Amino acid sequence: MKSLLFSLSLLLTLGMVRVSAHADPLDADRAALWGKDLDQAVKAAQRLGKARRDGALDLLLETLKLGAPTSVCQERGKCTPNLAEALVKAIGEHQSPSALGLLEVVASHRNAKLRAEAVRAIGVLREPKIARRVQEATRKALADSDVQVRMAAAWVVAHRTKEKLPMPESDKLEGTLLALLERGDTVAPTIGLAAVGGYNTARFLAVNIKKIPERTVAEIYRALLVRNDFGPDPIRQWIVISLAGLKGQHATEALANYAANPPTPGLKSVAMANEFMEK
Amino acid sequence: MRRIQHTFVIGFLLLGSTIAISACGEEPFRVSHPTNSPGEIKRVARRLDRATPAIRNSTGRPMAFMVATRPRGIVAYDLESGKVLWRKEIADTSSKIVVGRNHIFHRKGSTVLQARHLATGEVAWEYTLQYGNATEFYGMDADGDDLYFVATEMTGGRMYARFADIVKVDAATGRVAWKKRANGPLGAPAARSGMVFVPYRFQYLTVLDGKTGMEIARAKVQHPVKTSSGGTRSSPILVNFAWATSHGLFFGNDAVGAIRFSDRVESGNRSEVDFAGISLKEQRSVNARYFWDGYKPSMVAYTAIDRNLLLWRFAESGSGFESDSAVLQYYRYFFGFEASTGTLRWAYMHPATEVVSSAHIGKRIIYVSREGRFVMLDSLTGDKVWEQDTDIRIHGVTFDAHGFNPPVGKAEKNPPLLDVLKDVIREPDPQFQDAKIFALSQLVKVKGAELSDILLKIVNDTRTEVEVRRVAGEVLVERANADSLSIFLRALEGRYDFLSGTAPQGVGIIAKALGRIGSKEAVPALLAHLQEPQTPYSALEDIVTALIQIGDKQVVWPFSQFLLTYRGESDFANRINLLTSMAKTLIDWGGRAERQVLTFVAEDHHTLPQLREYLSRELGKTAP
Repeated sequence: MKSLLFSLSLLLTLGMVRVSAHADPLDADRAALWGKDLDQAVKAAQRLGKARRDGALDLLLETLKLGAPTSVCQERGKCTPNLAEALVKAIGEHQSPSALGLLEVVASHRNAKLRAEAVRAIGVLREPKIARRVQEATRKALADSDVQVRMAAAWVVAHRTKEKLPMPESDKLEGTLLALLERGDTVAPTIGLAAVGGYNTARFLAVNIKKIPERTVAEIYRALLVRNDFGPDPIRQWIVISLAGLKGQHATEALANYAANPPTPGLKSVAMANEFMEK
Repeated sequence: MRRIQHTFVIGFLLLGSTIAISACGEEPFRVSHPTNSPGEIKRVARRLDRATPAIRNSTGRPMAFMVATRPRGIVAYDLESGKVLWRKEIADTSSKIVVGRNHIFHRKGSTVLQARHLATGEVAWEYTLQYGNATEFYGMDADGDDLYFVATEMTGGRMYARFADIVKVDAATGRVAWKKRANGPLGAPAARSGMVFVPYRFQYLTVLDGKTGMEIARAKVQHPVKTSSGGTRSSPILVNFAWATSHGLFFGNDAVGAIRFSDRVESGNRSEVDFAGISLKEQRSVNARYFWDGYKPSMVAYTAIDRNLLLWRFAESGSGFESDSAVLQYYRYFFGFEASTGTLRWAYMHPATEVVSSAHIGKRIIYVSREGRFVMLDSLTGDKVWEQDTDIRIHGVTFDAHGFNPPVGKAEKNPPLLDVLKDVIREPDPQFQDAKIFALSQLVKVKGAELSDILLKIVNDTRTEVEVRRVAGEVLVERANADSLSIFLRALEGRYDFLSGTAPQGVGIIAKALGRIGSKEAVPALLAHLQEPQTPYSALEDIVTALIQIGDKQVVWPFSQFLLTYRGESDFANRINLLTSMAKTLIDWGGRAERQVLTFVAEDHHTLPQLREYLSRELGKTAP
């Protein structure tokens, strides 16, 4: 059945590619997308990402469904344009739940950069109905072996927390991100824990302060301290003391940042940060 | 009337002299001497039929004559009583010990042969080799107390000597009884029943009469060999050993097999003589050597070759080994095989130290380790039936213990083959990697799902040597059958997960095995790994091949989706076969929709050029 449906949709798509309507305003973009010139194709994808005309998203989806090349780098820095990535980004800009099915497929592409883009595009979808599928894609991406994909998933966690978008089982995210930190990934957890870290994060960092790079500890603490919803103040004081004890540029910057941008006035932890800075 | 009488007498005399000449032989190694002469072969075989004692030495007791180290010397050891009969310190013993009836013989330094009284170890006589330091000594054997040896003079760095001498030394005096020269190489001799058997010019076994040195028979056996054009031709078996035992005289090639000297040798064909060999998948340095190469002077001494030999006993009659069994020793490992099929029956591992010498003595295998422990194994099961410790450090041993059958208490049962195998694989000493690989490679014919599980664990164990894992994978694929299907499917359930640190191992190998099994049950699991982005490219190729081998058409849709997704992906440019084999499958198994997909893929600019070219060609061929 699945095969049949796919075949029918494919035939339809192929038919549309071949016999496009004469006065279609998307003709120019379609021609560019399907032309030999990859630069022009990428530009067309970018245009279609911003366009809110009827058919723009469909054209992007059809093009991606039929397979588009990712970039080829012959030498360092000299790469061919990445049409597939441009298409996924453009589709993401539409934030349409109708793209979810295809984006889920692309999130399993062998190209890690493309997987990461697909995860981001999925992460910005707002409909509560598809929140479970978004959460599933994010969880899977957090366990990906490629750091780019894990970073994209952590960005989704931060983005959805910040935008207050629905995210089932969000209470498990802090634990997952801490587990990543324990596995030696210092990049993705820094992004995610900045948004969802709480007491457990503060405690984990304090316990493992000698095992984790100073920069990672300082950056996560810095993000926690400036958050309004983080607290109570004794935990902030504890973090300030920890940062003061860390020898390094990033810890000092985190303290200075907290002293300069207190989330709430009159906190004792802010006074302590000032004191340490003066010393 | 008188004339008639005269003619009759002359005729009678001529016939008598002809018979006498053919029975007593002629000067040896003549080009004109007939090969496989039925009368000659029969006469020699008849003489060999006469019973000879299983134990050569006159005491009739099972003995081990050892070259000991620290201090270096020779030790005569009674295996039955566990007592040292005598010990002599000799710094420069340089050959294997040869056992006669009342004497033992060995080379001392490079130019002297010594005979010692078997009862006391005292020197009976010494013989200095004729060519001094230029002597190349190929080996010796004793018949009763007569010693026969082969040597030559080696000059000018030639690979083989132009001539070689076979010499008989009289036991009582140590003087040369006769010496015969061959204009061509001779191998180490074997002596029995008043005859001496010598490999000659690589393809012959010549038989000389022990009393006179005359040649009384010459044998050559042909076997079919493959030609470069794929056909076969008949070629002589290169004879490089002769071995005299109480149960017969055997000759052959150390790498091909052994032939019993019997009436049948007159046929000159391998298929008609009594032949025994084993079909083994040899690996690296682990070889099934039937005997020492008699043309190699280095084999005269106890060497590493003595630690990698096939131990065998010919069947009482006809071809093949007794009980269809042969045991391969490789240093401290013993592998028991069913000879006709090459199936591994048992394996045994001597703990810790190296085994220096071993012998097949009837129903048993006897061996001795470097630190002086004698052990006897049942040749059919590998069970340890007897052991004896000495405090002698050993370099090499000659056993004269055929038929030694000490009272056996409770045999120490050899653990099941798979348990021993696991121990062999876990052996930490890297110098025994060849033994591990050999053991693994012999498991192709061993049945059972448990073995698949063990092999899979070896394949997946990253601490195991790469080569060992590779061979384990090959064996796993070669012996894959439906019994192991569930094990393979379970192994494919693993997923890549950075968080838990897990990754499925050996996906490619498992795919190959599943392809061989051909079960449709495997298709969903294989498709899941096809679509998994972290599956290695090498495994992808195996998965696609397996899916095609299985032949389930439910792969058509995933294949077409995969082809569309990756048709322009540069990473596949070097693995274009993967995409083309998918495309071929879609052409063969797909319908109209798939053909349209393929036409689109063939025409689109973004498709990899090799794929476009392939599709244009193939679609053209199969145009509806």
